[in-house]
Amino acid sequence: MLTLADVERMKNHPNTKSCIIEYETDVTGKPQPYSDFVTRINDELDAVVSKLEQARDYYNKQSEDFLTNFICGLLQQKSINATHGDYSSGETDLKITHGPYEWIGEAKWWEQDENAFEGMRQLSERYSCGSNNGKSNGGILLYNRTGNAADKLERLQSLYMSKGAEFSNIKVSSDNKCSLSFNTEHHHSASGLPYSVRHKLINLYHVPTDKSARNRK
Amino acid sequence: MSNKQQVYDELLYCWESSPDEHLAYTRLLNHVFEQPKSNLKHIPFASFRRVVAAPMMDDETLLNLVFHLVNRGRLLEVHYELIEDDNCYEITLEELGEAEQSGWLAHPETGEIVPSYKEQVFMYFKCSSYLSSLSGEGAR
Repeated sequence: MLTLADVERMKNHPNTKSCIIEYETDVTGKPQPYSDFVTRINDELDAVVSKLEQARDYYNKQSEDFLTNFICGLLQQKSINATHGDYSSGETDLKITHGPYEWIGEAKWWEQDENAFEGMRQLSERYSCGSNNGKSNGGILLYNRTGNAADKLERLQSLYMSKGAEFSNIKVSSDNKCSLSFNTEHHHSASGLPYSVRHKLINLYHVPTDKSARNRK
Repeated sequence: MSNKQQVYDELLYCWESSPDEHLAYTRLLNHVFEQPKSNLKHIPFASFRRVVAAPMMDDETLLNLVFHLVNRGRLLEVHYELIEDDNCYEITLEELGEAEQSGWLAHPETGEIVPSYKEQVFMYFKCSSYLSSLSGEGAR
């Protein structure tokens, strides 16, 4: 038997937090506070990305669409309203809604830094409107199959700091929860309001050099 | 308007990458679609454990599967009841909302404060009118 007290405890559990919150929003019409929504989505994405990284030998051969669709499916499992290919002035890679809120994610295979910047342009100039009523956050998902992820990410952060002409008033900050993520905030070109983006590297590098790998060559 | 097979396929799709959950969810879907709706008017959470036949599955994973049927599928509704001795009293969402605000629940019959109400109010599930219509049994 499930009591209200049990459900309240489960609201803090990573496997049930989203399904309970989405249910409560549905029945009450009241979404959770926007900043809590953004935090929850980022936590859920981290959990999903962890599953991708556990099988990176398989996933590093897949297309951007396949990977993003996979992420979308895992989010949907938790009753999160996530879509792949939904329209928002173009086909978004990942769009998550919660009541009136919206979070849009753009995904790219990070073969070169220009891929990351192109993703940022698409997100902040095409898909998002940057208004401050629950639409002021988004994300970039960077699928990476080359090594030295931390070095690459540090270099990307430095490059963003010099992109003030392109992304007005851009500020770069580290992500306290994840060392393979960082945050930017700039003035959205459409709304002129602050738009925050979490850039998350998904580590799909898999080049083993152990005996088994050597024997296979 | 979707038919039963379309709904079934659409709901199962997102579980394809998770084999254990996919199997459990398939069993849940088969159960709610195949049972006469008269059998789905009062489903305690524990019943779902028998349906999925996965004794090692933790409560959180199971609840997430069941809530998927509620949130995404709209096949089940959530209801609440106060259980006191052998008596059950339906508690509405409005009453729960007021209790959440005030910190206490008024007994639906006596009006007295129910102590530690969150330990005495239980969640159960019921087939939705949408599920009934998909099954061709109409709203009940």
